[in-house]
Amino acid sequence: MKLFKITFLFIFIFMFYACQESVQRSSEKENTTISTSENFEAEKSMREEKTDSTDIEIIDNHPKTELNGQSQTSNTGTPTANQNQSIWQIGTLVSIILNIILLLLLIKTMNSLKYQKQRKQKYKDDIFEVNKNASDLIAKNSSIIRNNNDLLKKINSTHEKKSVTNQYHDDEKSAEYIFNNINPNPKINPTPSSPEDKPKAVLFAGKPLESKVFTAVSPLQDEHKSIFRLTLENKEAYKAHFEVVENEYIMKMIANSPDTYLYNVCNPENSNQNFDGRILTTKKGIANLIDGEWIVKEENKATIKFQ
Amino acid sequence: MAYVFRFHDGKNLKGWEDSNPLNEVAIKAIEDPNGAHSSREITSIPSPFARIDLIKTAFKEVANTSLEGNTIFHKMVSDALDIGQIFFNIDKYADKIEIISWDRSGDLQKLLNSNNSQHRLLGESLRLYLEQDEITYNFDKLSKLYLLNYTQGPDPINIIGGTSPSTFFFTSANKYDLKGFQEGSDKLLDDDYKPLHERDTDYIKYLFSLKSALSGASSKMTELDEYFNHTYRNLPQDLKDQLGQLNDYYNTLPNLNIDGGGEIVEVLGINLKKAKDKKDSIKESDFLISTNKLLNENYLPLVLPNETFNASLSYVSAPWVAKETAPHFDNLPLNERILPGDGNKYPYLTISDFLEPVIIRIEFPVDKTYFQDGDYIDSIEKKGFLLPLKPLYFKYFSSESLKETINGEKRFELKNLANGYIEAILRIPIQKNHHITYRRTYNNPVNQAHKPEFDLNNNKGTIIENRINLGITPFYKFPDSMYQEYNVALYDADFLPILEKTRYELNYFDPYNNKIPNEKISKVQRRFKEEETYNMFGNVVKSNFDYIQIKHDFASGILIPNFFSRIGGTSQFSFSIDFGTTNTHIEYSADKGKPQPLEIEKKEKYNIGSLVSFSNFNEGYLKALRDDLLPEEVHSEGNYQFPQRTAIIYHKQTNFNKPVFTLGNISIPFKYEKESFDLSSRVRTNLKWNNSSAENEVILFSFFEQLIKMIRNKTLLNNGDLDNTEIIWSYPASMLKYQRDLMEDNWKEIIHKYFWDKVSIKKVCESLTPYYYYYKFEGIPAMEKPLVSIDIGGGTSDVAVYREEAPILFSSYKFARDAICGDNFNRNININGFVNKYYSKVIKKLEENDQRVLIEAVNKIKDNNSSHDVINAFFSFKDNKALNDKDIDVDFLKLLRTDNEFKIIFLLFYVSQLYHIANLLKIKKIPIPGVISFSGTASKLLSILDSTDGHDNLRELAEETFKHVFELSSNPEIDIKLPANPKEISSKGGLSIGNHNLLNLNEIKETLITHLHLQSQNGGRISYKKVKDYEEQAIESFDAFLEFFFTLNKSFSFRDNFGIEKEDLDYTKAFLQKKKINALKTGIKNRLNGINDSDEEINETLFFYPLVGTLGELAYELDKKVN
Repeated sequence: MKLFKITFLFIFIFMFYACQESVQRSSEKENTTISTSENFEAEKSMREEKTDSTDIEIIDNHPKTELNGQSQTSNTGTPTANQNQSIWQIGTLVSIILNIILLLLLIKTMNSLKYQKQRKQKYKDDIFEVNKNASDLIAKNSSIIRNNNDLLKKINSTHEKKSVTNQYHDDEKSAEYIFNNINPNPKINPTPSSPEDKPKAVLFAGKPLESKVFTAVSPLQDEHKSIFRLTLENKEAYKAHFEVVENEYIMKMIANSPDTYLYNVCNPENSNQNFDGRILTTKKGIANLIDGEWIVKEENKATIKFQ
Repeated sequence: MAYVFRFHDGKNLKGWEDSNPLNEVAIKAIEDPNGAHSSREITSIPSPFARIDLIKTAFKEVANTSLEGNTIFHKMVSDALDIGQIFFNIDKYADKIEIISWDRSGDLQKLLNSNNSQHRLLGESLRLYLEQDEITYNFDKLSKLYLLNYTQGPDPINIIGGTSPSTFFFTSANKYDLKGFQEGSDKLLDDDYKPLHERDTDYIKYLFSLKSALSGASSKMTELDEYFNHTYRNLPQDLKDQLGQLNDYYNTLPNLNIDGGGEIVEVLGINLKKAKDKKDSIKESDFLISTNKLLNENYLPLVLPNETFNASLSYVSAPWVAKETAPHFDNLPLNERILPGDGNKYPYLTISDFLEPVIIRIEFPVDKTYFQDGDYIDSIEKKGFLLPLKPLYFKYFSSESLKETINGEKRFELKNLANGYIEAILRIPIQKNHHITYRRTYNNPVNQAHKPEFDLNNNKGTIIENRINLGITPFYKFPDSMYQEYNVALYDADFLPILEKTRYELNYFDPYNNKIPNEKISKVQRRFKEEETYNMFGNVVKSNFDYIQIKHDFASGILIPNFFSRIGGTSQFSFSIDFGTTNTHIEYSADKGKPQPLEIEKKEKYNIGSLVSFSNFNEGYLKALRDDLLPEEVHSEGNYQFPQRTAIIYHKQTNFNKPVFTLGNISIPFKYEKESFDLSSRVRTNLKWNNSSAENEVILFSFFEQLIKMIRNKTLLNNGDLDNTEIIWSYPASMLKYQRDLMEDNWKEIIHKYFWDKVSIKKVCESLTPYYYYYKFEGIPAMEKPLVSIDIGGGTSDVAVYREEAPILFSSYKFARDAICGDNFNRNININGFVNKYYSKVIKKLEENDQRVLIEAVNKIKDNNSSHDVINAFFSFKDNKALNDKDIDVDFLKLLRTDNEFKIIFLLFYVSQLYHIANLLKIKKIPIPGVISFSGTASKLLSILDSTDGHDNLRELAEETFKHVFELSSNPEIDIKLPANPKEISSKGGLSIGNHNLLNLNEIKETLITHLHLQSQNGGRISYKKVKDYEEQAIESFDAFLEFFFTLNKSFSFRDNFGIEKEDLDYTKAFLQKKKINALKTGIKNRLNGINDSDEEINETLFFYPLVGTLGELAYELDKKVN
């Protein structure tokens, strides 16, 4: 991406100069009757500009050959005004064509990145699928869950300390971590290129307490315990949007006991008796990380609908 | 010098000289090049006679040197004694040994007469020996030899030894790989030589007695005698003493027979004996289990240690060797087991007989109030375990024994180890106050996707986690004299794939460790995993039980309930049950004390108990216990209380043609109007006694049965005497006799089932009881001035008039709360004025206070399209604990009190009733009452008109009404009694009614058809056939009432007193005038539809029909008018 940007910048500058030169040449053509001294000045000025162009060429090799050719021509002979004009026109044209090509490349690259992102998500899903399949190792094994909880506590504490245990807190990173164990050549950029591109982290939570505190918060989804999916803006966020997970077992469980599993953090739009297989989160709730616990304020409850 | 080739020393001979024959001295002089230390048998002379001689010599050699040693002589002596011991314990080796008899006269003659020259030669040789050495070896007295054949040896005949006339026994010197020949720790015929004095006491006594039995033994068996003498000196004193008192010991032993019968084995004419059944001596072992139960078993098992055991305790014939360990597991049946390190067949127990290979871990800790938990302490995972014990433990020990200590240590404990492993330690008492400690470590499974793996042979157990809970009600032990019945609910919320098809099995065991037979257990499934993610299996167990074994495909565990045992007493309890269509209330009094509502108090913790506390842990499958069995608390200050909505809950697919079990698959939903319900249950409200369908009968029966179970619990848990208990049940006045009889049968059947026959059962008309409450508890008599008691229920109002402390008039009509708030005359919830006006308001109030649970509960109720139920729910919020705890005021009555638009409806309701009653009294010539009392849930509605303590408005209205009807010039004095808890008045009064049940209500029942026509006026009875004849008069009566009502506004301003605007008054007047006829006709039509026979007499007034058919619509229109 960086390379494309620099190239694009260079071509843009070149175009700018080329266009300016072209305009200047046109005005010179119109003013051929101007004095020799003026011509001399113009010629001098043109030479200076060519020197400038040569300087820019150093930055990128792509247009170098062509422009060097131009430069050589201008250095080895004394070109006529028409010749100079056509050179700049060709340059302009080349620049435009290059720009178009680069633009196409840029779009392709962006699509490629988008595809990569989709794949990354797929890998993440696959990993969770692996986790599900290996739920005996992860979800069922209480000691591991305990470890996860311990880790989570650590993670929560690190929010304050700003230390580095993020691989468990950051869903995408943890996904990559596992992915790397599976595929040694993942084509996923492990670090975001800009702060805006920081990946959203995902946590899963079990039943909420009456105090509206989520229990069993973990980066790993337990298909029999995880009721809510918490999405954090980034791995260090103190705020998360939450929704009910779409999992057949969980929905069956919570729809039958909504008082226990839902209503502490969700407002229902209708009766649980309307449940016919789905619980739709019509409005995501907001949970805040306070003293290591994800808590939902009354006004931040999610809204759900039994369908 | 030439070497002389000879063994013995002596004079050297030259040439042919006479040598001296070898004598004993010469033989002794022969040097043994091995120094007599060879362990190889001397086999150069392969004849039994040579062996007889060698053994004889060996006894002599050993006797002359030392009893202990490792020479070839010691070996021969030891082996000969081994042969003797095999003969002695022949039963023990019966599967390996046979005794072959050789008859000197017969068998020798056969050889001598044989056609085979070799046989003849052998016969000649034997005869030669027998005759030549007959004195030396007692062959002259020998008639038979008995040889021991090892049947499991390599050849058809494998002789290992036999009887000897010189030493009783000899060995063959044949070396076989003998297996299973062991006495105590001594392997027989091996290279470890054992002198006699170190052998089994019984055997020593036997040999000494055998020797004594042989006349002249010291001369006939000199070598053996010497050996015995030396042996005697080495015996412990107590054995010496026993030998000194052998007396008839020899004769007490059974003869040794060939093949267990027939020929007796003898030596020199003396019968050999065999040991008495060894079991008798083994049961004297110190390792015998020390049980505290009286068991009818001759041979209790030994309990053998499977780890180093240092106490010096007697095992079978010798002390237990500390380093020896019994196996962890023996797959033979108990009676087939062979004692390890001994070889005797005798029952013994291993660790695996007591401890399960797999321990069941549950998701939450065991509630130790109710179940034994093995003193397990888990501060990390907060989980619990079922006891990994096998039922065999309880054959020998009571379930209570697990709480005891033994030698300062716990009998049973579960300990946490690293990595979540668990160690179960069980200490089994044996003799001499010792115990055997069994320990088993249960490992966490590597992968819960596979079935648990364990290794019994190496004592390695494993853990399996099951998401289960189990509840039992009641949680006390019944006396033997009482009908015993428990409701058990097992919840299975497992989700692991391997447990998907696993079915749980519950086995109940009585204190004698007998399994409760299936005939005493009814089973039903109430909840299903595919619907709710967990199963619920309900068991009705009609017997006391001590413990429960929970089994599934991979594990078993034991649950030991800590049943409360001190139930019952001498207190006299009285209960009054007011079963209403809408609400049911129960009052009780102990020892004639103050009546109080039936409650399950927290301190009465033995109404119900559960494996996992369903109060402390918030999971759906735990909390379901409250719905399926009983809540842990039913209390006026709690979530659930009486009066309770008359409702029942069951699975929506329940087939009522199959057995239905109260608290098994049908129960009272105490959370109705308070919490959400699952998706598979169906709640039935408004249980009616006048519905004779089979389904309704079952439902009613179940409802009653649960109430009676609760009443029984209350009595027994509060020192009550069941025999001395009194139960009063009330019935509505409108109930027909046959219906009342059916209901009475139901009540009696249920009450007698749980209380036996001595309990006192009374029935009472619910409308008559309130007076007795006022009379007894508020001191209001009905003497000269009558007392009118009006009981306003959901559908019916009953009026009873008392004078001179007795009921003199009774009347009933269907004009009660439903006439105002319900859906009368084909109306529905969508056009119900109260629901339309208040549903959104109440919901909003709940929403603002985050009462989602209640909102859901109301939503669910509304889904049933019953305005009656919705309004009931609104009223119930006032007593809702969840709201009260948070000071959230959702008082529907209060809302209505401030609703001036609807007040006209309640005013009409109240005044019309008084108007009708006044007319009834007038026509019956009964004086104006001094007191009008109200009872019944719906009488609360009157507080909308007047909530002051003195009820001045209500009083004045009553006085105005009576003044008008009785055409008085001034207001009479009438006191109004409107209690805060009107529903409870009926039940409380029931407790004070005495022998009222003898009263025939029909004798005082009266119906004022219109205000001009009394049903009994002309002596005849007016049937519904003629009802249309009274329509006009009914309208006239109604018009007269309307005239009075709207005129009343002039003397008693409705605006001033109730805030009713003239506009609403006018609207109402016009509305009623417009609708009255239609409403009357609809009322009559509905009534005719509800009776079977038009000949049936008119049993309710027509006066209220115009109001019943209009008030609901009026509410709707008034609300619509405003909006």
